[in-house]
Amino acid sequence: MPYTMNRDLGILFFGLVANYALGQTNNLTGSPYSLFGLGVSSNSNIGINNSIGNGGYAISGNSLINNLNPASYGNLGERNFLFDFGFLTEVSEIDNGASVENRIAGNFSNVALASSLGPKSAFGLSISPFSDTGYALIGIESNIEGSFDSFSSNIFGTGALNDLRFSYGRTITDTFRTGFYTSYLFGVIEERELVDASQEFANENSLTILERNFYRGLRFGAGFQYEVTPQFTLGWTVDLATTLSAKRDRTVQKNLDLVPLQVEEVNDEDIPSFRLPTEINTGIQYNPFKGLGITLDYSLKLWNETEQRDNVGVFVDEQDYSLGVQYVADPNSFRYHKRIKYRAGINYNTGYLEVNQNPVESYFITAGMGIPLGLRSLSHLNISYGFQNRGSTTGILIEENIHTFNINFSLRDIWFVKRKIN
Amino acid sequence: MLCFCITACSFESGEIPTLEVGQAFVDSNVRLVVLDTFELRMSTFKFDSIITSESNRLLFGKYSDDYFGVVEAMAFFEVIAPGMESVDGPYDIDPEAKLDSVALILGYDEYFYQDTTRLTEINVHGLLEEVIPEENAFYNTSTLKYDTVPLTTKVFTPEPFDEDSLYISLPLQFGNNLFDKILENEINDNDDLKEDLPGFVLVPGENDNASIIGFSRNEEDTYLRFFYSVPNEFDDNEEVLDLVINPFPVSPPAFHNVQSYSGGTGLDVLDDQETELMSIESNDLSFIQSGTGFATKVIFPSIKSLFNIPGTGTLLSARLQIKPQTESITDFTPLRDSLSVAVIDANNVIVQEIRTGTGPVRGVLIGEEEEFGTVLYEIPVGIFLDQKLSEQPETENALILFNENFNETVNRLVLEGEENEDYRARLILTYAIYDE
Repeated sequence: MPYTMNRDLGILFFGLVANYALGQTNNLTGSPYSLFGLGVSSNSNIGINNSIGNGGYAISGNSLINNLNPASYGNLGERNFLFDFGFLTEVSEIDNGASVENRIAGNFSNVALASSLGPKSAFGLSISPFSDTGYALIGIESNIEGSFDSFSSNIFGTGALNDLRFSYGRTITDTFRTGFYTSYLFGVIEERELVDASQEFANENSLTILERNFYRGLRFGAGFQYEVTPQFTLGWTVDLATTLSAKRDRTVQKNLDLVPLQVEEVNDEDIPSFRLPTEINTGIQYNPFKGLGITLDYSLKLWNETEQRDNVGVFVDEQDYSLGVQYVADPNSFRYHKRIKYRAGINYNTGYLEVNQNPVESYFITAGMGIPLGLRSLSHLNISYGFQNRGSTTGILIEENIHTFNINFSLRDIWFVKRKIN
Repeated sequence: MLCFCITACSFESGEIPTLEVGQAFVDSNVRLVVLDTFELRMSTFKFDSIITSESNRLLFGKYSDDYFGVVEAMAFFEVIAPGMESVDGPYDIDPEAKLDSVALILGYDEYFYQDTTRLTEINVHGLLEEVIPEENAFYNTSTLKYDTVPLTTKVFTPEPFDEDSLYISLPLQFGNNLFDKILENEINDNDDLKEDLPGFVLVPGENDNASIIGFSRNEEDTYLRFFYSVPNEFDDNEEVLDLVINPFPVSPPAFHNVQSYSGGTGLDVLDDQETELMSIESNDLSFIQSGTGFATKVIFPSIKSLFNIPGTGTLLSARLQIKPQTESITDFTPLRDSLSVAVIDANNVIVQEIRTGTGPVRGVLIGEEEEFGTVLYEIPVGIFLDQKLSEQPETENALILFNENFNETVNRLVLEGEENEDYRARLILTYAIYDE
């Protein structure tokens, strides 16, 4: 009953979007580096990209959703429908050189669908985290000006920016397809600072500042994929620079001589907007033989020209290199275990943030499996594990070791086609 | 699958991380600034009167104070027969009874001020008018007419701790006069009694320089006692009649009059509650004395200039630090642990109590534990100043500092003013700037 199946998937999509909207303040990260800018770029991905080192600009979209390149939708084929949703858990170990702390964060991470519009075109709709914020900085000591004393404050950040994306892809020739996307980026980043100014005796005075920053903006991008030879595909995309407008709600409260008092409540205040840089991404896929795919990708994010800085950090051009491998013994085999896909990848990112001339680099090693759901189904359960190392303990930086666990369901259905063999 | 979607819940680490990680590369968004140069002005004023009839103590005595001059307390009170519950009534006494003696027993309540080792003269006078207030209360300035000739005079050394009470024999003639009227049923109830005995006043000796002590008003401690005997077949029965200060009065049955005068510090100019003696005009000192009504006023004339600090900020702490003058603290005039605080208006009338989250604002002594520490009163004035900074319309409300138990002691406090060379009274503010 394929029709029913589609309806169910539609309900599921909107159900998950609703869940998403409600759950968006839940952290997907515990990284102190998410203090800067709009948070750390999300580790979650639709489809298989997160298990092959976050790359895959040249991967075709005929059997899975590849949100990295809208051109991939161009060869979804006729009467096809794909649905994907995933979950992410991140366990991080944060090291400041002297001590180590473990943090855990996790949530439902994305939902996406792709549907054929005709034999040569398809569209996709997805919602996924764009960046995540989740930090807790405890015991920041600062001098009280005009005295030798200091005060301590705790800063907590939480929130996420989401990417609601519409993609369109079209096959131009048998070997060339192109596409574009429009993203609506939106979200709330909340920062709460608690200042403890207690003096010697019993007047416990404190200040709480709660800032909720609302960001939103549109972003456009385009890309193509070109099959140079049957074994070799080239992918290229550009994400255009954009500006996210920002508003702020701020509530300031204090405890003066143990009496709670409201100091200020300002809503919808205009604050400086945030600029996202132009991104140029290039990727190749090489299939030396049937069943083995190797991807190699390079991304450049031109943060320098946004001329932004944040507290003590400066935004610098970010480069991202990734290498991924996928192997399947025989995708059409009647033997179940031969249809299991094995994936692995590595990634190196120079980071967009530089603190005191120290770049916050990261390394990422991933491994994953695609487990077919059912004997003849083209749907998969994708499981991946990633180990990421970010920052270092040199200088004042901290080092994070992050274990990420991704689960996503990639469901495929063929519209209006009754199976001939039952 | 839908079920799976519903059961899939989000989670994050519930506990607040405690490790100090990452704060090295981040600064607080808030700046705190401590300022102790804000102007303040202290002055002394005197309440026109304070209610003294609501205390459970009767102050009595006289001494000379280095700052306040002569300090004198007189106790006025009436006595009645307690407990009308017995059928016969306390005034039904066997007509055969014979008065042996009569005495006034004054119970110490352990309060004293100044030197109790000195001889004290107490004069017991009979009142010539009943103890009835004009407006439901008596004040430290109230007085009642009394017979200028004392019933008796006793010279004694107060023993507020070693003895329970002071025993004053009254003349037998005074006793018989009343006792006979009771026997002859001319006095049958308390109203009859008050006509013949409106009450007593305890007046210290004119040239005394001793101490002021507190007598209890409790019926168990302070009473007028008639010792009488009723002839019996074999032996006389010895009995007593006690008259006490009414513990359940309709109108106040007792009060003390407390005055101080002729001090060398210029306090005599304070003849009106609205008159103030600036500390800079009285040797950079300001004064507090319970009983007589002296209090210290503090104003902060330039507090609004806090808003001249660039950026958006808020007051996070304000402490007023004032040092009691060291020379004024003696074994006889010790320092008390805490200081009462309230808000007064431009006419020096108390309009408001200030409360913190734990109760009324109080000044607290600090620096006592430190070996070479400066002993200061520290007063949290954050709530008051926060109000002052935001009040609309602006008022001339100010702070008043006074002693606890203001109506039933004569405790004094000498504070060093805002320009005192020993220790300048100061306001220490912590201001938080959260938006540059």
